[in-house]
Amino acid sequence: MQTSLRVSMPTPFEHLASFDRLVHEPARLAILTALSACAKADFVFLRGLTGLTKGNLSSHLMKLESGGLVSIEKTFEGKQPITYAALTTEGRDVLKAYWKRFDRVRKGVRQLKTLRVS
Amino acid sequence: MMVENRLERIRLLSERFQELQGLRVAVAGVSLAAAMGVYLMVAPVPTNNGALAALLLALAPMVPGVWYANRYYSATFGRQVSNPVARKNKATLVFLLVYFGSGWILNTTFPAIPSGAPTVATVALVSLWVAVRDWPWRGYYVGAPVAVALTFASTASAGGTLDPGKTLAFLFLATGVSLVPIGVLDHLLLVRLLKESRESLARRVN
Repeated sequence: MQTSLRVSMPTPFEHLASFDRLVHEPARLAILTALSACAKADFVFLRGLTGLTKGNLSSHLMKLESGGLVSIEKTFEGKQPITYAALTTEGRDVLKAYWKRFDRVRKGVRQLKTLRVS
Repeated sequence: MMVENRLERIRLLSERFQELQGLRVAVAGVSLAAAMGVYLMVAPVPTNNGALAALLLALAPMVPGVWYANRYYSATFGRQVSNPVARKNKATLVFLLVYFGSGWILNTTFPAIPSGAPTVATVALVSLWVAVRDWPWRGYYVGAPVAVALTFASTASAGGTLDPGKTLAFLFLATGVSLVPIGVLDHLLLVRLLKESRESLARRVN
């Protein structure tokens, strides 16, 4: 029974290995999730949400920007500089695909559990 | 499952960030309640039209208060633009048109209904909708319709003993008073969600 499962579909572990590391990292996933629920958010908001230091958040945002998942916009409100981050269309698609794969892993784990029990 | 819970919290926080800036609502509630309270104490014979004038006076502390609260939130918690702005603006415009249109029809067709009563009813219904939509996180929004219903039940038009001339002032007062704890609880929920989100992420990263 276990053999046929392995032949017909990839195991949850194989799915996990195929996860996009750029998205799967906890802090980046938190940033992407927060951005997916709004049009754009500034640096202060993302820092408050994630608790990351300025340097860490900058580095994560730069990685996401270079991956094409996030766009960065620098503006001024009065004399105050504000850095906004927004999810790109590609970022939205990648996040959607990530959640689909995540669901598949969860279903796979559930199936493995039932196999072990039986 | 843990990851999902954490991300669900982050999503809720990001989606409702503007609404959870509750001190703005609390300031509006305090202004409304104070204006109505003063009006009921000072006016020799309170009337529904007088309550409407007091409502305009409530705007004097409300506008700068909400402006200050806005500044506090953007400086402390950051800025965020809700998603998607254009559709929300259209929905707000349609809501305002329907609201003022139906208010005008009600005023001309049923003069017995005080002018501000539909406003209070709208606030109560919107609060009920928020409580249902964000249950159990924001269940405390039930407080507003309950306060309005209890006040209405005590008025003469619903078989109570309250003077009909004071109906509107008391309804506004009840709305204002109920908005204060609602706003404060929204603010506390915002702070709590932010703290939990940071802590859960720190646990994941470390």
